[in-house]
Amino acid sequence: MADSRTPPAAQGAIPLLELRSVTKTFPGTKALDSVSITANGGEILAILGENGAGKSTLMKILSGVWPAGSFEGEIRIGGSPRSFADIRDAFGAGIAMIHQELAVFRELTVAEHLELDRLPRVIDWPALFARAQKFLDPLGFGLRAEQKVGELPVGGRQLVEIARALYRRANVLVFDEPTSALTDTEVLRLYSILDRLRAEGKSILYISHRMDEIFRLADRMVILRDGKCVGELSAWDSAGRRRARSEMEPEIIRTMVGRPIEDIYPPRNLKFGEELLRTEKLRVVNPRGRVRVDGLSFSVRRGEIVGMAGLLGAGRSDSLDALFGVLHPHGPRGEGWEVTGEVFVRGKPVEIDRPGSALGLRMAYVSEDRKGSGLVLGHSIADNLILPALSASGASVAGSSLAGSRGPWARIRAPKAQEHSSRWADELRVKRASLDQAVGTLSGGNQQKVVLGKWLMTEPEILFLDEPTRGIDVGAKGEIYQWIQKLAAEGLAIVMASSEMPELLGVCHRILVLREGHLSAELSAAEATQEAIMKAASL
Amino acid sequence: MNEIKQAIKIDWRIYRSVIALFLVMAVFAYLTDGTFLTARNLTNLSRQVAINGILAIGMTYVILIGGIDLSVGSVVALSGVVAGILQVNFGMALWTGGEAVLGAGVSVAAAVLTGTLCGLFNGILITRWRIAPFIITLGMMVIARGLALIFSNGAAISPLGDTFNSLGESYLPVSFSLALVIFAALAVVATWIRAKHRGISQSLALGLGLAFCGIAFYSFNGYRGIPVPVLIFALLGFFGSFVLQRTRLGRYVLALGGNAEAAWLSGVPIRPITTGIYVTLGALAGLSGAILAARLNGALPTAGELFELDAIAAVVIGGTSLLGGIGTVRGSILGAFFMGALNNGMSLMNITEFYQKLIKGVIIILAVWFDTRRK
Repeated sequence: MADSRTPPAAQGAIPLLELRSVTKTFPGTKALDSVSITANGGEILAILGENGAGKSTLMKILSGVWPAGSFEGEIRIGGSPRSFADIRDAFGAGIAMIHQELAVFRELTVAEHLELDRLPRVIDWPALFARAQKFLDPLGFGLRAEQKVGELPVGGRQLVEIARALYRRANVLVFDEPTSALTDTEVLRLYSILDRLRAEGKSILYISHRMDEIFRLADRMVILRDGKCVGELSAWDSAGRRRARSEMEPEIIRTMVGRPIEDIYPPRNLKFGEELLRTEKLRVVNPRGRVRVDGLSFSVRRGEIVGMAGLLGAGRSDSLDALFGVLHPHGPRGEGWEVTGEVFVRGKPVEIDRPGSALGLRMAYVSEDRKGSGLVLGHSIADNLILPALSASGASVAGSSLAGSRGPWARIRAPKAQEHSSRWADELRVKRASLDQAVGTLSGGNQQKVVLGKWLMTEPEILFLDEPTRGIDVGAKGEIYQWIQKLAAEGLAIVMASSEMPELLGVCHRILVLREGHLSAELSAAEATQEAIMKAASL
Repeated sequence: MNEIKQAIKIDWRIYRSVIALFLVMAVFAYLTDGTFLTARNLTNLSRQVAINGILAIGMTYVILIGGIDLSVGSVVALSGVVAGILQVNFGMALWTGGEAVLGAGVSVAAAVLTGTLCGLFNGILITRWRIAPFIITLGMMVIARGLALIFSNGAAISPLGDTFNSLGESYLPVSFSLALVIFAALAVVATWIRAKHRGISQSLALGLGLAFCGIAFYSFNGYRGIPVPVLIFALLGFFGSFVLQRTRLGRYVLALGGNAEAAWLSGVPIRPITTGIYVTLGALAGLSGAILAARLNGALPTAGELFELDAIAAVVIGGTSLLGGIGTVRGSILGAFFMGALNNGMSLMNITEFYQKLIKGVIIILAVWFDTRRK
């Protein structure tokens, strides 16, 4: 079907949109490093890159979220330099973002969305609806002007955003993972709309992790890695024929991930013991009825580190949340989740219906979001460190020495709390002024060590790590890797989910690759490569 | 110097309430030519504070977990009416001897039970239906007020029995009162001696503790001893403070208020704790209602109006964060004394109730503004 299209018409000298050596620096990192990109009318340009490669920063600069002056470089539209003070400016200049998480107002009608920031002071409803409907009908989106946007399905809301962009005569449309929430029919409809926009001479920037979409749609691909533009290739050969996927794909993947694995990984633990954790046919359904994890089965042995790879939303965190009992309806965000499947700990079937029971089984969970669910930021290092040990007091030496008995009224032995938290803070080398210091004032790496420490104090046998090194510096990363190997050598069974492939390759014995909630591949350390993971994750 | 800075930084929330309290006491002492500082007035002040203070103890926990309870004032009235009905309509007020004690006990228990049920209603709806505590307790506020008016036919229920009234009116003997105050002072000193590290903040705590014991000694020695409501308040305050600072439950409450998700992930049973805290505040409101009815020798369906605001103000002035997770019971006790001193002092100066409301409102806003500005 893709082959029925023709290559984009030959371009004039002036591209529709041009970015010239754009550099955006955040404290400590260069999110974009002198990136130059051109986008032509009548062309779909795919922007590829791993998580953290700089795609979203690029989009934020394009759409005015980062205003002119907060970055270096130049944006040109139709050949003349433009600077945007805010999102409205960028929109006014003809650049429209179709967001991944659609920013719509559920209670407003389709017509109001079209004129959102230019509604007249007094609204003449019949005229507004007539005006909007007159614009909507030729689009063929099937939208009614009077309909409340909240009543539309996700795909319909996306159409509203596209309609809004067209209504405001946008020439550059940026799509950020547009299909991630769509049904198959909606995806096909989106494809045909994109083809039409392309034929009408719009310039389309398309961000997606899904390779089949890229090969179906893109005329040209730009590849970002570590904030730099590392490659560009055309989907058409010089004779105007579409190049075969098998020809382009290896090159793209190599360019996307081709980063040397740094030598910060300590040697792997080699002693395995008996199986500690096994799960069969784990299935997780979110409150909106979407299946997040389906039929996931795996096991982990004593001393083994099993990695979990997959794209954003592939079900890594949801699996760990479910296994640890976080999704119980009594929890803060557990209402409406449905978790089924069997879990065996040390060979026995268990029912983990809340984190408390997971703790009792000597499990621990360093969650993905250390600020959201890992730490109480306003509380001291000591208070954060002792919390899980305190609630599972029977399971560990530290825990049972902290309080006299197991009931809620048990008196806390303050000197013991001091002693244990001080010991763990020392062992993990948490840089601190005092143990009474609020955890929120520590650096990311030190915060992460506190999260690790609070779980280690419970003396776990099964340890879940989700993005254990996210947002921390290389030094702290190295220390965390050393701890992981040390704990494995001590006989812990470890499951480590991560979006950083080098880290999984450098640390794990075995890697499970998830794709849309399914186990799509299980690779041993020997057979795992970034290319193999990427392929299994995004096919 | 650094140590002083560190110590003051840590305990600033408490010192701020202490300073505010002493400031308002000094102002009223000056404006009333010393009447404010007489033993008699301070004793009355402490009894007025007790009723609000008991609510403030429970309210501290509610605010610590990031909640709010607007129904306590109405629950005070409803529980008082229930106790009043038992006393008057069931004739318990006329019972004598041992029966009178039984009657008074049953009346108080019924008031506490009434409050507990209201709290249970709040707690269960907040945790099961996940509706904002503000809305649930706002509804409960109106429901309880309505029930109080229905049960009492809108009229005051009085007179109540003398034994029952002694809960609000009577005093501990002076000698026994002074012994208790001295015991408290010794406990303060013992804490200081037993402390491993005796720095600036320990010395300040010692000084302040002894100062408060001194004021108590002066007030209770110079008038009629410790009022019974004040004794109840003191015991509950000590218990509430101990649970929060020293027990596993206390750590759970603070963690839950600081970050519910992190607490849940760490194995804290957040739902029973949340329900339990609203139930406890309900029970305290019930007790408060019984004490108020006993002091007034009558149950008014209109009693306790705006008590929820005094309690919330006491907690916030006492340094507890409205966002949850940070705060102390002793701060709220100081805050309750601050609000009580304000009410008492303005009444002594014959400021009309209209202006009292105005001034109180301004001061509450200033206190919260100060709290948010520091962040």
